[in-house]
Amino acid sequence: MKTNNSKRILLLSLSFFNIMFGIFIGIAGLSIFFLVYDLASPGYYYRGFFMILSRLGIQLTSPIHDYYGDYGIFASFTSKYVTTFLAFFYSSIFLTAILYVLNQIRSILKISYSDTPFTMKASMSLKKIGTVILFVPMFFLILWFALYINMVSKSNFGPSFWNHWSWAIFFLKIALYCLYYAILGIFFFALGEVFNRGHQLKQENDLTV
Amino acid sequence: MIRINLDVMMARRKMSLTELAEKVGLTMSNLSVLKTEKARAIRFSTLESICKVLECQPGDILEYIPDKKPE
Repeated sequence: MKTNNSKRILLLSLSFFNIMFGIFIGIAGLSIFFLVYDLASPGYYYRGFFMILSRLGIQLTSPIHDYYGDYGIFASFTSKYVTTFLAFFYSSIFLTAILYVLNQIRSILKISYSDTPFTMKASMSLKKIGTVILFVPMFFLILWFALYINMVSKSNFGPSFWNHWSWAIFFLKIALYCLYYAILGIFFFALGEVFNRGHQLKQENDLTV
Repeated sequence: MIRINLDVMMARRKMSLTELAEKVGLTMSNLSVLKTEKARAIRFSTLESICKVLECQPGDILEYIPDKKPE
């Protein structure tokens, strides 16, 4: 009876998860792409989270602007091309990470409702989730830090009200924001270790006569 | 390491694994795990039952062999 109920819950949760997964990927894919594309376009250089994208966009396109002139048709076309590439690139990083984590959660969900939840596979999946959650914000933190160093070293860049202290506080804010993800990653990692110990205990229990 | 001399005692008492499993109340697979020294631990209750059936002491079944030190 218990097993039947577990199986029913598993099937229900998996089908619900699959539907939500599809909807989420569709919406997230489109929205992240358009958001990155919009914010990486000229005119939004100083807007919060996606500033690094536009900054990279400027760096990549500035020689082309110099060569062809700021208002050349080819230059604007190339700028758009680079912006689109960056939008695709960063969206793909986000989406790949999200897709990977969701797939791992799906397998965890499947294992959790099975007869033997404490397996090495579950442990590995949880640890993989933890690693992705740890590494993706770290990647962005490094980018932000590079931007911060760039801003501090170049006094002629950026609006005048953004002085060095503002940048320092701004970077601190981003670092604190990333700390949340670091804690979440460590939590998943620790949970993976718990599953690993559970698996070891189960093995030991199985070999006790 | 701990050596299990269950097969020796079974041979002395002329008892098969199936018979011992039935009398002790263990499954064949569990007794096989114990006999082939794959078991990680043994319960006192199991040891007591085996000793009772085979009419022996725990020392007759379990034997300590010191590990050889690498030279």
